[in-house]
Amino acid sequence: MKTNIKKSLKFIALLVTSLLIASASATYYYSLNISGTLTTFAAVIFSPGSDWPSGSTMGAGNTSVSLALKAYPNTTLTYTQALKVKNMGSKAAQIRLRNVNIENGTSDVGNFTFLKILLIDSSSVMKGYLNYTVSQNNFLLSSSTDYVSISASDTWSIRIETAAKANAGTDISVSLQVALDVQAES
Amino acid sequence: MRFINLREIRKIVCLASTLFILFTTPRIVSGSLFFCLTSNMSTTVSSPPVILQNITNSFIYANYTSARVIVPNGTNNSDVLQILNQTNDPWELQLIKYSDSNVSRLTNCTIWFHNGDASIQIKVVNGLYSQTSGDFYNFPTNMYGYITITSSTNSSGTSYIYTYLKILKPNTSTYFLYTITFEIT
Repeated sequence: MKTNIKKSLKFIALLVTSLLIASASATYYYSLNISGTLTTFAAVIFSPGSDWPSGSTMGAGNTSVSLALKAYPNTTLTYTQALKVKNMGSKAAQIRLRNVNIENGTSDVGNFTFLKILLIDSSSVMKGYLNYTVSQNNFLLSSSTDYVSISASDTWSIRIETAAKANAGTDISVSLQVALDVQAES
Repeated sequence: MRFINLREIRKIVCLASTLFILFTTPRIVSGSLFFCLTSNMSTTVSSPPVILQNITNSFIYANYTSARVIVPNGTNNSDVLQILNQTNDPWELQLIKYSDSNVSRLTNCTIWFHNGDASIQIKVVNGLYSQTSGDFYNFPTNMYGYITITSSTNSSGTSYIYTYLKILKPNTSTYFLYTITFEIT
């Protein structure tokens, strides 16, 4: 019997290719599974800063926080390090501040001058901010919310500044919700 | 013996390239985690823990958190403002010059805190600053202190020294600023 070398080679190539495709697909989905399971561990977390406001609470796993801030009339109150942002991972992560929600349109809002939330790196350089100024009874947002890279094991801080109008009433509150978005490589 | 011709070499190279890509492609696939940390903030307007009160020649503005002090030439050791701590928290005080005008006519202008101990915060001698801020001054709970000024000039006119009264929570970096303007005629 005469062996056709050309056909044999083609057959072997096809066989090897199909095997590789099968194993490559398996590896691909395996990688996706890994990133899925990693969601139980937050690479970037909050921790209380040296200016942690009294009455504030840290959520489970240090992934959420509830801050009780004050504002005084006709003056700027600065919490230089209200919160720390720690990258616990072994790789750099991309983070950014993002406005989620702020109370608006009520007469209470008109008692404030501004609320400012700043992301400060370990060299005291500002890396992003959310600045809520007040026009009548509405907060107007200006912001810098591009993703920035925080190195592995690095600790940054969140600085908060508040100010109320000179004739502001007391015991008036507004609520806002801010997110710190994280993109972490698995 | 059969020699491999050029066409077959080309096929082998193509096959090898295909195998290389297939081997390496799965390894460059990587995943990223996307999540967000949430921060709920409630901000409440509160009564100022420290307030300013007039002693001599001072105007106090709304909510007692800013003031304008007018003193004439020849003022000597005059208590112009009282600072009152209304809380059970201790604070630390510091006066910081942030702007001025026409200070060259001041032969001497010294501004300090006192309540027992004195702490010089701002000093101008012959039109030049020898001090634009001072050491932090301890301000115990439910206490008061004074801002005192001595000033003399060598000509007519009005000089302004614009300052912040920095009120710092001890052992933290939490602080707030009151604006105090000194007007020396």
